[in-house]
Amino acid sequence: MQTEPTMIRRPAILVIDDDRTVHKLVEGALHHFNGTLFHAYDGAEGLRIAGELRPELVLTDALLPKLDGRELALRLKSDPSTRAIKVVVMTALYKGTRYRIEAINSFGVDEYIEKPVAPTRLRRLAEEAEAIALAVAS
Amino acid sequence: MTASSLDPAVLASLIELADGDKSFLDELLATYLEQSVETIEALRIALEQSDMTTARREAHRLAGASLNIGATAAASLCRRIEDAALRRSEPEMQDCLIRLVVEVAAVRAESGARATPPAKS
Repeated sequence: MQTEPTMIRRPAILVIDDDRTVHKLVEGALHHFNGTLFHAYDGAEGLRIAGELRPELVLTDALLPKLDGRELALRLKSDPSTRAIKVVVMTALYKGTRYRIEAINSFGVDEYIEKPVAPTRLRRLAEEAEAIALAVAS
Repeated sequence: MTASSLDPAVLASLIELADGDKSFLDELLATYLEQSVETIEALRIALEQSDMTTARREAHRLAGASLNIGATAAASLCRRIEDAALRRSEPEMQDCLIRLVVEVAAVRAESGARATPPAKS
């Protein structure tokens, strides 16, 4: 059964990473977050959940099993129903400027940030997701 | 004096992250240790099968997880496994994997020593 996106407490953030400590850290950093956190552990699962729930923000690792995080961003940005989702790619591997420019220009990534991600950065992203949800609701 | 396996500054920042809730750190360390057992087993199998792609991916993930909890020596060993897998240097991978098992055991011991005792009912 497909979940009805409007029934979710907004904003919704989808975290996609095969490292479970990342999910735990995001939960810790966003423990005051008033929306809903969703979790996926590979790119294919992340793409499916993003398509069904249309979260305000997708926070994904770059290097993922089954579907690379940048490829996932490209697919979300290529689909009119998911194009508006803000996609932030986190990476510990592809750190050079070349990768950042490629991720933004070729894959449609909105932001490209280095791991480990600072808690303050995560909280700011959650605030941005709240602003997006408010703008959509009004 | 024995060097700590967990960076005290990272541990302090993690406790601060959860507004002083030390049980958050206990849960995070438990998640790390559970995942590290699975990853080390996957690395062993990958090495047996000379599967360098899987070895690099597994080592990369554990390196990131190790940095997240301040296990810098474990992270460094994972990075070496990643590099050795890229060069297909199996003896170096084997050596680093043995050291990694020892290092993760040290993290486990330190985590157990600092864990918050359960609340009395």
